[in-house]
Amino acid sequence: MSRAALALALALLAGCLGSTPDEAEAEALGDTDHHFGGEPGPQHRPGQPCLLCHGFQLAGTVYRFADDRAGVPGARVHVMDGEGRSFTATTNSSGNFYVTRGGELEEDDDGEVELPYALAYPLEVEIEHEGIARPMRSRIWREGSCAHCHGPEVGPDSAGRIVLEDGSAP
Amino acid sequence: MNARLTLALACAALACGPEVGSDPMSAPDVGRYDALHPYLEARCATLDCHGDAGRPLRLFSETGLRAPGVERDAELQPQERMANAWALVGVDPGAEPESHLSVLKPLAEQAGGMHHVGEAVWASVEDPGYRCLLGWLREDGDAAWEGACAAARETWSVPPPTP
Repeated sequence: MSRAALALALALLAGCLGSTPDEAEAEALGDTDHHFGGEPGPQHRPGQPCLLCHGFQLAGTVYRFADDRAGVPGARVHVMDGEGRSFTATTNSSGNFYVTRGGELEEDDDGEVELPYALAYPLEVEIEHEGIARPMRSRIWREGSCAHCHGPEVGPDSAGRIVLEDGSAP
Repeated sequence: MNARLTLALACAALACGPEVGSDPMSAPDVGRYDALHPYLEARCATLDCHGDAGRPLRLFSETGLRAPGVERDAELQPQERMANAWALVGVDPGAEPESHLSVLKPLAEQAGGMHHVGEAVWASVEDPGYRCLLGWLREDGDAAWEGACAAARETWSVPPPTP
């Protein structure tokens, strides 16, 4: 192999090494599922940015209060997309919900909603549970992981967890 | 021609030429930024778009990115307003308004715009949002500009917080 070809091959190989930003962010989440501790599945890793690892269209976790250890089961997540199509997801036992692409509109009791279409942005979202309804003030324009913007703590670049009620549990 | 005469003529030519370093957009119109902001907050400045501090155009807003030291639920603060105005002009310093990146990026390519990761925001230059931002860059201030901004806000604004 000529020196030029070797140099080119090494340069190309160097471009394949290392992590993408998403991979690095997923690695930083670690292996321990502090809140669930069970097998990987729809209940795992509540509050974490689901789309780092999963090809869902939209996914997240709903809590009653920001400092709750676990999400709230049975919360309804009402979504309308940019083409005026609406659906509702119901959170599972970890407070998780996730939206996938499938053949027919279908909702199961494990947090999944299967849609026969690709969601069109922007998304308008409202959460609702036991008489409490809370619309999202802003729209979602491109990010399907709720936790990308709704980090565990309120901060300059985080709206904090998706919560039904402000404050702490009584 | 001797060197001294050449130098003297060159200096004279420079003295008659345009002001060196003149910049038609050296300072943003912070005073009228508020006409634009509600539209930007709803349409551009969400945390997943230009409310992401890593983007070349970074915008602060009440429901998006906050400046250091600002409470999450506080109204837009003066330093955030100032920073947003500078961020808008600073994304393409020195450019004329009609060719400024802040108006070309969101404009559809078939309408003369550029590729935008957030896709086309404005289908044409008739969009009120385009006319509002362009008018702000040009410091128009007339009724037509105010009407465009009002129409843009009518379409895209963030509702007030639920009491």
